[in-house]
Amino acid sequence: MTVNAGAKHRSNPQGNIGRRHALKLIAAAGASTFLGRAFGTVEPAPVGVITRAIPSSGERIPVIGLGSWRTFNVGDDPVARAECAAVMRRFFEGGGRLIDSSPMYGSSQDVIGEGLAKLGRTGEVFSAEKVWTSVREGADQIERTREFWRVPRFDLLQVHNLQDWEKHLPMLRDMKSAGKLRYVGITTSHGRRTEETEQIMRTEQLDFVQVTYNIRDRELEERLLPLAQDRGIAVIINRPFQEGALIRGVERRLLPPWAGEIGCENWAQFLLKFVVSHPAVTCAIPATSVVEHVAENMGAARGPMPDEAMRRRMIAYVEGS
Amino acid sequence: MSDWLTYTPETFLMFSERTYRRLFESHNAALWPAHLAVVLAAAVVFVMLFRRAAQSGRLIALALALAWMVVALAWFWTRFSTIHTGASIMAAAFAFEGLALLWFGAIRSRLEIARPTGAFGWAGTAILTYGLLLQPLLGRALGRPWAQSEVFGLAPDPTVAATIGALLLARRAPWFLWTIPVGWSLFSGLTLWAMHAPDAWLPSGIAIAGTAPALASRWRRKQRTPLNANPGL
Repeated sequence: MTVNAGAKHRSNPQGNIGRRHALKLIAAAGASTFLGRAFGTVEPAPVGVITRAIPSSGERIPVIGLGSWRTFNVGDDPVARAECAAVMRRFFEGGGRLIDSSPMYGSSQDVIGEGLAKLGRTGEVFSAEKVWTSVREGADQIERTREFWRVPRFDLLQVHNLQDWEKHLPMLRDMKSAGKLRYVGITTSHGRRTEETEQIMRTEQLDFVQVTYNIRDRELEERLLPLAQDRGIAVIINRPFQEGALIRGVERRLLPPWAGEIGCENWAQFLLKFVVSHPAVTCAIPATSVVEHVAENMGAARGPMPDEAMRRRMIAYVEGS
Repeated sequence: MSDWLTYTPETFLMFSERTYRRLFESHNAALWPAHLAVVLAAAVVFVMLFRRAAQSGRLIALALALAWMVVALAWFWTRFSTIHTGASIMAAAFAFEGLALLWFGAIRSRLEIARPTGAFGWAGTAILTYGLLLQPLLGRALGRPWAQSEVFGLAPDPTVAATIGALLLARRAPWFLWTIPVGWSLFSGLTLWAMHAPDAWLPSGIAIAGTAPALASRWRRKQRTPLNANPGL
């Protein structure tokens, strides 16, 4: 892996690279190679966005995705739907790909599908959906969901909150075998049913697991995240801001001056970089309905990533608040 | 940590406050000028309260019943269902309360509304007045635009508040008529609390202000009734 260490470098006005600057670049490249080995598979995408590999396939996706819980459930309101499309536009312009939703999220699926069609990004999105119903109705729900999204097939389908996972997982694996789906996963949130999630990760063939992890909720560092690494399971992180509570808790404080060392210009980037710098994490999915916020979030997918010492410093700073 | 301890009202909040308020805006725009008829109906209920007409109780029950059924259909079934997966259940509950008020209040005349006297009577009148006429003013005072007003007969909270006020004024209202209004008040209060709305305490406050006197009154009646006067014992 390599970290996007060159993102902040500037050449001199003549376009030549001086000897001192060249030495800095070589040092940065060496450091990034070292950090890459230590922290997983981060690598710059062509547009400068940091990506990580899905272990089961090697396909790379940007480390920042887009959640839709609550923020995209705007009903039939045409103004709010246009605002959601604007958020998606900014997300794609910032290099994002993975958008996550669920049948539990009200009108979110249709809002996403409408936005994708409007933006002409249906073929570009990495569509992450869920099945959230009884086994008997699972296939029908997935088809309804697909129609909302207006995509030919989903990239990822996850069993929402482990509901009837014993029966849904074989169905999803059959879909994957038939070429109707690319990846299979499970989700949970807020640290619920962690032991059961770990048990499923140990015994089932999964491509993805989606869990809650943030700078205050770090229990998963002990077992679940290392297990995902051992088992080669990609990890999606929901609630990276504790549904906004983390941001509200720190926004009155100034960012520490050393935040600039890891390319953070605001608290959102600070909190997101903490999450996605964990070596087991593939992608975080902050949700927002504000264009400025998605622009800030996408900034966390660029620039240097914190190393382990910096991560400890970040925790100490936030917990001191 | 037990999984149950991780659940809060915010866990179940499916939409933002902005979306919720804008839904009232589109609801009001779609139903205008029904508001004029609703305000007229509210004024009639208010007048009936202070006139000792024989049919006052029936007319008030009829107005409340229609209000509950309109809210069930126009708000929950048509509008709220676009942002809440449980809206159809809420629509059914509101329709049921509307039918119950129609049957027991308007048809069987078991909702005899007393002219307000004493502390309980005036508490009931205050809650009824708030639900019928004053809730939009509160919204405006909290900085919400008129277009997002919650109006009796079109929106759930003022309809529920007016009903709780009327039940408090009624002589011996059947207990089950309280169930859905109180249940909704608690649910609405938790929803507003999850949205950090400044008036989140109000629905639950109204439910408590309505049920506490009603329960106290029922308890006092039981205390006054000699055991041997109760044919059931």
